[in-house]
Amino acid sequence: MAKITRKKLSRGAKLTPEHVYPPLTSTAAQLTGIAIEKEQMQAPMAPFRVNLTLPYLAGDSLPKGKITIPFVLPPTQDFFLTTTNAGGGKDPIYSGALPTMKLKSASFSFDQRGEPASIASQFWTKGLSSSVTYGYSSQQSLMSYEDATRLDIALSLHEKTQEYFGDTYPYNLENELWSTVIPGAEGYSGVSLRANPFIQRDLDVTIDPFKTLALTIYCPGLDDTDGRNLALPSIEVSFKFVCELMPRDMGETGVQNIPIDGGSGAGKYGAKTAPSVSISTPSAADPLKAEDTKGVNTNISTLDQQFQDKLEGGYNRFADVPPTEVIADDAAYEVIAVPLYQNMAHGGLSASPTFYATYPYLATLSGAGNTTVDEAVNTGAFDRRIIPIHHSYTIQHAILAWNWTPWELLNWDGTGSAPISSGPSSASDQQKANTACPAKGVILDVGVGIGTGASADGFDYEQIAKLSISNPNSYGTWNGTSGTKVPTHPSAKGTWDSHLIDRITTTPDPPRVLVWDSGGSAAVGFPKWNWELHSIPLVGHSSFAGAGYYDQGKEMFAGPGWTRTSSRTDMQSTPPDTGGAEQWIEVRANLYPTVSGALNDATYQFDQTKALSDKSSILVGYGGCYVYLICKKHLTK
Amino acid sequence: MTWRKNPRTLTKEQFSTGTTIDGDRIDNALDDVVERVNDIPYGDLRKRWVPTTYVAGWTPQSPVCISSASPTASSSAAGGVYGTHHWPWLKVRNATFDVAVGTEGSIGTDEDKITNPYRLKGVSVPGVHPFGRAEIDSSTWNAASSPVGLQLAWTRSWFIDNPSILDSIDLILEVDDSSYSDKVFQNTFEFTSSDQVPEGYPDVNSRDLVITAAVDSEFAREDRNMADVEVLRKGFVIGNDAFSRLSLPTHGSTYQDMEPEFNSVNDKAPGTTIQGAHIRLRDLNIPIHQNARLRVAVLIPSYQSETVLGAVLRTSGWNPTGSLANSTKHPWMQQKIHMAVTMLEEVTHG
Repeated sequence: MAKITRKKLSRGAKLTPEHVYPPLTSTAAQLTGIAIEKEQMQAPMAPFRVNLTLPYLAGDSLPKGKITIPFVLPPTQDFFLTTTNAGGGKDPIYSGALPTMKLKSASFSFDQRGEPASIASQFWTKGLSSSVTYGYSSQQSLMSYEDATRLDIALSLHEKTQEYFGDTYPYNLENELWSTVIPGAEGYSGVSLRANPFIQRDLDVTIDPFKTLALTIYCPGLDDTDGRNLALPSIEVSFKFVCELMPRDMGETGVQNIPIDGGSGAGKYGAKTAPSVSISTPSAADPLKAEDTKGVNTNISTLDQQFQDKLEGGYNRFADVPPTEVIADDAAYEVIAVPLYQNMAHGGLSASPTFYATYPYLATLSGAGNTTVDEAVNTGAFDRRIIPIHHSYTIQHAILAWNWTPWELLNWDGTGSAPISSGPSSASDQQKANTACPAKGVILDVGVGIGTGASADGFDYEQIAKLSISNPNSYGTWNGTSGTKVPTHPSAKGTWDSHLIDRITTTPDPPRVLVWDSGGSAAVGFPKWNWELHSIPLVGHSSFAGAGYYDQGKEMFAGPGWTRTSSRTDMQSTPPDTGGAEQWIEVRANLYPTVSGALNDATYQFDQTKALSDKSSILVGYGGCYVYLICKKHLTK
Repeated sequence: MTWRKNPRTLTKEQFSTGTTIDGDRIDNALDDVVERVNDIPYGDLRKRWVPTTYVAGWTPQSPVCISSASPTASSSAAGGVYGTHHWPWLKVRNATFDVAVGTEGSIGTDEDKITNPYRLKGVSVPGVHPFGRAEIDSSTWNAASSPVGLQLAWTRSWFIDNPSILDSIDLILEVDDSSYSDKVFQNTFEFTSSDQVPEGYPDVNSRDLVITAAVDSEFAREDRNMADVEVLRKGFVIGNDAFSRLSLPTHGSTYQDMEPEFNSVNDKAPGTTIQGAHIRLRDLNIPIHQNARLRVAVLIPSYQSETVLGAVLRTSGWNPTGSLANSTKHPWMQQKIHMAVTMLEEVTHG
C-alpha cells in the first residue's frame, strides 16, 4: 500500500517538526518516487468493453435464432503466470498483484428502423408465393408491427475452464455468470419507449481471467412455421468491465516498438521522469514557522502546486509522455474485438459451389444463365479488418476465435420440397452446412499488423502477430491406398491445435466431425464443438521472449507518434517499417488449400475421389469469427 | 471554475507570519493533506480518460457472382447465385409500403402504424427523394408520389451509462485496385457521366455518403425528430477522402506487406493494397451524457428503387453497369466495410 500516515497531535503536546513534516515529506517522496498507486485513488479502476457486433441474426442459425460468441480476458503479460501441474498439464497462477476484473453492465441493441416493429428476414414467406423459399424474399427488411411481441430475446454469459487448463471433450459451458430475458412485448413494441438499446447495470460479477467466457443470444421468435420469419439486423452487444489500473509497460528490452524518446527525455523507452518536489524540514530544535523556506505554509504550498497542476501520467495522442509524471498505475486493461468473415451471403461459408461462389474472389460464373460456378484455383477465403487507432496501446496477446457453428443454408424447415438440388450428391447434404471441413488439405493463416500511410506520403506495414495452422481435424496420412487412418476420436490434436487455448461447445447441436471408426473402414460422425480459441503469438520471441499461452514475443507498442516519438525499439531485430507513425491495426485471415486447386476442391478424407464441395462442409461457421487484441491502454485526455 | 474560499487544493488552512499557528489548525491541515493523498479524487488526475473502440466491418457478397439482376427463387436450386440479403442496411424512410405483406398496417385502409417516417435527421442528399418529387411538365403539375431513389442506413446503437466523450468515427470503404485482374469491389465513387449526376452536382464525383451520430431525446426517446444530432457529415466528395493519395502498387512491391501477404504464391491471399475512401472524423471531443442512447449511422444511396420497378435512373459506383450490372441494385456490395468508433470513458471507483 502506498498510503501515507502521520502521527496525530494529542492535546497539550508541544508542537515539534516531527508532528508536522513527516506527512509532507512522505507525500513529496511519493511524488518524486512516481509512486501514486491505484490504492490511493478514488477511481482505481478503468472501464474496458468487449464490443461484439453482428450484421444480422436470422432463423437460418442452428438452433434457430441462437448464436454464441466466446471471448477471453487473459491477464496482461506482466501478470500472466502459469505452472505445470503433476499431470503435465497447465494450471493458472493467480498472483496477489493480479488486477481485479468485474463485469459491470451489458448493453444490447439491434436496428428496428426506429419503429415498434420487427424486421422481416430474407426467409419471410407469409403472404407470398410458395416458391419463395430460398432466402430472397421480397419482404426482407420490411416491418411487421404485430410480430414485435415475438422478439423475446434471452442473453447470457457463461464461463468455462479452458482446454489449455485441462478441460476435456465435449468442452461444454460450465457456469452461468449472468443472464436476462428482454420480453418482446415490453421491450420492443412500445410506441413511446422501447428497450433498444437495452442495458442492465451494476452487475458486479467478478471475472476469472483464465476462463473462457461465452455470450449467447437466443431469440426463438425469429423462426416461424407460418413463414413470418424475422431477423435482428445490426446487433451490438457491449459488455462493460472494469479492471484495476496497472503500471504501464516500459523499457528498452521490455516492449517492442516503444518510443525511444519522449517528453520525459531522450533514451527513456517509456520510463517516467519524476518532478522535483523538495520539502525543507526544520531541525528538531527549530521553532515552527509559517512562511520561510522551512515554513509549514511554504512546504504545503510546494505540494499544493503539484496537485493544482494535476497529477501526470499516461500518454497523449501522439504516443508521447509528459515531461514529469507521478502516477505509478497509469495503464488499464483493454480488449479490441475484431470481427472477421461476418455478414456472409448465407450465414457462413459452405463448400457447396452455389454458396461458396457468393464469397468474393473464390469463383466466377459462366454458362447458360450464369449458373456454372468456376472456382478460382490457388486462392483463399480472405478477410481483413482495418482499425484506425488514435491512442496508444501495448498489445499483449492476440486471440483467434474460430467458428465451426453449423447452419441451414436456406433455412429449410424440413417440410415439402427441399429448396436446394445442386451441390453435394446427397440430397440431405445439399441443404446444410453441418460438417466441419472433412479434409486435411486446408491451411488457415491469421496475421495482425500495424500500418502507416493513410493520407500520407509513405505506406508500410509491420507484423505484430501471426498464426498458421492446418488440417483442422488432425487427419492422418491416409491417401486412399496407404497411410494412417486417424483420428478415431474428435478430441485428438494435431498441427491445427499447435496454439490451442480452448474448444467450446455452445449449443446442443454442434457441428459434426467425421473421424475413422475403430476398424478404419469408414467415417463416423461425432459432435465437434462450435468454437475454438487459438493464441496468435506475437512476433519477436527469439529476441524478446514474452509471456503467454505459448511462446511469443514481448508486448508491442502501437501508437501514432510524432517527430519526438518516431524512433522506436526494434521489432524482430530490425527497426519497424512503420517508423513510429502507425495509424491503424490490421487483422487478416486467409483459409486456403495446401495443394494447387480450389479451396472447396480439397480432397474429402474418407473418399479420395470426392471433394469438400460434395459434402455439407463448413469452412467458416455461422456468424463469422473474431480476433481479440488484448492490450494495455493508457490514461489520456 | 467554481468559487472557492482560497486557492489551495490540499487544504483550506493557510498559515501566515503574524497569525496564530495553533495545533488544531495544523492538525486540520495535515488531516487534509493525508486524506487527499490517500484518497486522490479523479479530478486531480490530468489524464483520466481511457479509450474504447467499437470495431465492425465485413466483406460483402461478391458482386461479380450474381447470376441475374432479377432473381427467381426456383433457379437457385440449379446453382444460380443471387444477391441475397442486404443486412444491416435498412431504408431510412418508413412508410406503409415498407410494412410486410399481410400484416397490420401494410395496406392503406389499415391504421397508419408509422411513428418515424424519416428516422434520421438531416441526411438527405441530392438525387434521392424519399417522399417523391413534385414536378411541372409541359402541361400540368404532378404531385410527389413514389420515392425516387432511396437511402439505406447501417445504424449501430449503444446505451452509454456514464458520461463519455465521442472521440472519433472512422469509416473505410475499401475497394480493389483497378488494375487487379481479379478485382471484385470496384466502386468508383463517381457517376458514370455528367448527364447522370443529381441536380446541383458540379461534376461526376459522388457526394452522397452520409455519416451521422445522434443521441435520443431524453423526453421523447422514440421520436427521432427530437434526437440531438451530434455528428453529421454529408455533401463531401467521397473521392477526396481517399485512403491514400499515392499511386500505390497492387501489392507490396514498394512497401513491406504484412502476412498473409497479397500476391504471394505461398499465402494465396486475394485482394490488393487498400484502396478506397477513409472518412476520418477524429478529435470530435463530443460529450455524451449519462444514460444516453447513442446511434451512429452510415448512409449509402441507391438511385433506383430497390425492387424491380424499372431502369436505373442514375448509374454510378453505387449502381454499376458493365460486368457488375447484375449487382446494379446492390450498392451495399460494391465495397468492403470497416468501421471503428472510439469513445473515451472516465476512470471509475468500480
